[in-house]
Amino acid sequence: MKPPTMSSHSPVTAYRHSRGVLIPCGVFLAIGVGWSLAVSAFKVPPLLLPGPMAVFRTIVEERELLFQAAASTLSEILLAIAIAVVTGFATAILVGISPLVRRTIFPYILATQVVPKVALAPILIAWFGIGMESRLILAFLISYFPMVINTLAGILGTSDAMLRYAQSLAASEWQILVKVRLPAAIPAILSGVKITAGVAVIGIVVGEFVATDSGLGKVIIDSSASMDTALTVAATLLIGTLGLALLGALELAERRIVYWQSGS
Amino acid sequence: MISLARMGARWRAVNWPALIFGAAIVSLWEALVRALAPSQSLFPPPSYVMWSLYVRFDLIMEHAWPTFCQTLVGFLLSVVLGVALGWIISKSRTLFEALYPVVVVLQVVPKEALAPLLVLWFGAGTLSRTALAFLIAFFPMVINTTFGVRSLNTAMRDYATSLLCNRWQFFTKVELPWALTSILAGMKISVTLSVIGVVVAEIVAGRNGLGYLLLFAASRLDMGFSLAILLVLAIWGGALFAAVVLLEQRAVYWRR
Repeated sequence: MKPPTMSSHSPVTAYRHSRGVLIPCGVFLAIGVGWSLAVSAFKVPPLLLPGPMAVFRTIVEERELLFQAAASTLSEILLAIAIAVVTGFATAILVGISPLVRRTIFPYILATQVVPKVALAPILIAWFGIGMESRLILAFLISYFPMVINTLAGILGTSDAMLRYAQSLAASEWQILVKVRLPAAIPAILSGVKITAGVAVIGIVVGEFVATDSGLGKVIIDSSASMDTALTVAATLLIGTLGLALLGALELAERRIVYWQSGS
Repeated sequence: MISLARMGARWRAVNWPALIFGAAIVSLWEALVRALAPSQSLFPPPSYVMWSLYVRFDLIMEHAWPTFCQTLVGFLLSVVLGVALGWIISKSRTLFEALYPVVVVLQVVPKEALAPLLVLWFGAGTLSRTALAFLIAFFPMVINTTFGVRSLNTAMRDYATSLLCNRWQFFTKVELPWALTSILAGMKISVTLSVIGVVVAEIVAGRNGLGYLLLFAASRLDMGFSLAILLVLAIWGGALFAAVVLLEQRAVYWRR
């Protein structure tokens, strides 16, 4: 039995687990109705929590602001993911080739996993200023290491039988890497990409909370400072939707790429 | 992801290349900064970071205490409630089909974004931070518990039934030990997440805590102080993780 990781549970898997989407949809609907009823029954002041209809109205009214902010946040997230995936993959190949390099730096790569890297946000802003660079570096630092670890686990996890078979065919080290190790590592690499994407969202959003010059994080901080709670809730829900859509899209892409594993 | 439990085993056999590499990096950092950096406050060498830690130790500890308590409470709450919900979900087919997808969706949503709303609802104090730590750490616990309980195979179940196990024996001798591996794997994920939750809430709003102190130090461009606080946070994260690994080695000793 493999220890489960967060990555193996994603929206699409959830859909596949249940026989119908009806029940979970019903649960979400019930949450919405319960929210609405609770707000009107207990006369919750809209400053504290506006009802779902008020939030929806705000989304429609402020659509331009929210759309621009979401576009800025999303483009930074995608950029951070791209940088982390490319550099993380390259690092894992370099580390994977040489046992000495692996032994030298892998303990440090693992150790970074227990450091709360979001705390770097104020430090990065002091060094790189309030702007996109700080957020990108923060998101990169958070999302780079999971990519390295997953890719490396994939490359090094090739079965011995496969390796011996390739060696018996007189394959060179390079051929073994490209034709045996990498194809076998694709599922691990893709789950690395999903973890990377998930934490990149967190990096960019926390970055926007601290360096408030653009994006949905700025909308949240600004609106909560001016007590416009409907807008705060709307922007928070948008970030959730954004993260969900991103992971859902990656999950669908994964199913296409590693179709031979769709039974898992 | 590769098993982080192996980290502990790795450290016990002294890894000389890694030690030399670490020492080289620190010396290089020290030398370069001393030679090139215009300001030691903005680009501090490691010695200055350690000196800041020494000089401000009392202040750091004063702010570390709430952070430590909140991460612990948030983490323990997420373990207790997460295991309870995960267990209930996995025992009923209807509940599983209704709630598991919801849990999985909420797991994927970036809950750090809730920090400002939680501060609005619960104030910029202990409650909002513990709540964020709990919310972030809770869902991996539910998912891992559900996975652990449901992965019990039918052969094991049949075998236990053939031995005339009663319900209690089945729970304590079969189900719990079986699910423990997965629950502990979840705890290793959740424990680091709970630190992140508290720190994010402290950075967004607050009057105390290491995240707040870090924001304060960085806004005064005292980077030696900032990095010293980061070091304390890293050590706390590492200590919590190590504690869970130790617990794992005790609890699921048969898997070593």
